[in-house]
Amino acid sequence: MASEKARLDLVSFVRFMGMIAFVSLSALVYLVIMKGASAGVFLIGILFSYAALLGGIFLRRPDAEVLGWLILGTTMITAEAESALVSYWLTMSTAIVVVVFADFEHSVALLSPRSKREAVDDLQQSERRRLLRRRASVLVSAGGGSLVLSLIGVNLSPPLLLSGASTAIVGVLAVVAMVLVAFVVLEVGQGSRDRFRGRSDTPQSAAGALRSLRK
Amino acid sequence: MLARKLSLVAAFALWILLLAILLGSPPVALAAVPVALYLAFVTLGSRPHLDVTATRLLPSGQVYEGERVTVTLRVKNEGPRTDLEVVDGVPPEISISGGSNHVFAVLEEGECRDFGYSFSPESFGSYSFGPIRIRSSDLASARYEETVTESYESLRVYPEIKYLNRIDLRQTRPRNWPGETSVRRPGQGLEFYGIGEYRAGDPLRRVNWRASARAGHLMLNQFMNEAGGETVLVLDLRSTSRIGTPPNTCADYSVRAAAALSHRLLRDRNRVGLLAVGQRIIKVPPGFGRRQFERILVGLISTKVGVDAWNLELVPYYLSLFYSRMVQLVLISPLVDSSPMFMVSELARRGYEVLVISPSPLEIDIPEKGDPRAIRIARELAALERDAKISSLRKHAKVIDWNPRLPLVDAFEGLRESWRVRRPG
Repeated sequence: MASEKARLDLVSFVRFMGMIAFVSLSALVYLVIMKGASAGVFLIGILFSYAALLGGIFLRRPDAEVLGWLILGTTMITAEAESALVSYWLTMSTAIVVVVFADFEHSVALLSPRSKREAVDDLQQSERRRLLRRRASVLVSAGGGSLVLSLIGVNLSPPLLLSGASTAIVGVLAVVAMVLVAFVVLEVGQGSRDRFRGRSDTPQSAAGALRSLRK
Repeated sequence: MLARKLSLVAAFALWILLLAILLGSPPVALAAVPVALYLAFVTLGSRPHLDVTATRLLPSGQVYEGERVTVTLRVKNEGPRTDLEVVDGVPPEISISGGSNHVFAVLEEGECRDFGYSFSPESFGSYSFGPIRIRSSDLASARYEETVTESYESLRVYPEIKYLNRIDLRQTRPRNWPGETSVRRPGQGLEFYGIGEYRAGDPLRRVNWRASARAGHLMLNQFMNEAGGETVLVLDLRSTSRIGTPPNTCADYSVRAAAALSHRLLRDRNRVGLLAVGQRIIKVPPGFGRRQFERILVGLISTKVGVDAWNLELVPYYLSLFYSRMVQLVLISPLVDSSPMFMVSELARRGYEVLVISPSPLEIDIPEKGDPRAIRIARELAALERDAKISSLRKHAKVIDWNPRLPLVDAFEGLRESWRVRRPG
């Protein structure tokens, strides 16, 4: 009975875990900035991120929750840049983790009840759980794929990692190159998916086959 | 359509770049790379399709307050397989107890599925549903298509009727149609009236043989006639009736009493009409039967307590224009101000017979907080004022002081004696 109840409240549970993750990340940022000279500025960033996240939760605005995560991410990346630990893989991982968490929070918020008056029955709970799993897998694979591709791409382009390179040029060039790669990959992928769909949609019944012949 | 969160993520990537330039840090600039890739992945993925129709099916029969109502949403996907989110607009007064008006589903091409939600309306009235919003989005919620089906429907919820098995609401001025009120003239009723002479065509089983032997010719048992009457229910739903907490305000009790009375009166083959004075004036001309009952119920749920459309003092002039003095008037009012007093005295002066049913506001609005002594004194004063009003009204009309926490039929018990006293003959 207890496990059934826990399963029914999966969406709420995931939402709660998202909050835990947010608090943990913000605590981590706080630990990093404590040693820096401009701790006050970063603290303001953390407070803003909390304000946006809590405002989004209470006003049921998923976009505000995303904003909260992104503000926290910006603060974290800036804190990393100020620390001695800064490296390209750390900043990349931080950025993608924050974006995936933000997007996941957005999806969970969309699947949550819109108001307190809204009741959700068992059937809808299971439907929402299924959708949540599918969305989570899509977001994680998109995030993981982006990170792996980025790391590979950056490692294959040594000029981007030269210490004397101009920051603006490095950033813009890297982003443009990666988006072009993604576009080509996705277009090729879309084409192959369409071809596959075309085959799988071929009617199997005799009547369907006849209809397809007439076309 | 692209989701707004994508703009935020894009702004995040640009902000990282700007930050990298400000800090002069290439590793920070490279942090924008996976974000941009992620954006490209989720944006250039599959696109949602929306070729969906949705209809709402409300219960077809009559719905009474407190009953469980189930609304069905029928969603049909005419296009390819899609992830759907369907939200049906429900009135704020209802709270859904089963199912959901906000459903998620994956529909295959040509698939039609029913979703339902149920609720129990706490109060009578007209509830508006709609529109139905349908949204189809991709799995990353980056792109979506949305449509709004302008499907608006109203559900009429009728007041709960406590059926009155027996009340002494007699027609003192019966009319010439069959009814349930015994009239002291020979007719087809069941109550004994007297003995009369036999006339050709009279049924032989009514012959009183003992009387016939005494008289030397055939005598007949005669029975009282049973006739119906005409009643107009006058409902006081002015802003003064807004005492208590919905769904148990004075106005709510008045409406329920009117529904129960009209049901009983119509069942006894009387003509019943309605005049409700509230935010709007609802007039239902007198009539017979089941359809008339439905007309009265519709009139009752259409009335709202709000800014008064009429002063109750105008009602006697209106009634005397349209109704003869043969009509019995039943005023249902909490008697909060002096308007009903004037109305009743004016109607009595014009020769109408009036019965006043007054749901007591003192039994509805019982304060729970505050100084108990002050509350007790205030209640005693209010009770005195009410008693004075009722005593004054009793000079012109019969008054039933009704505690709405108790059944209405109990309140009529006190009236039975007065009917016996005034019964003609």
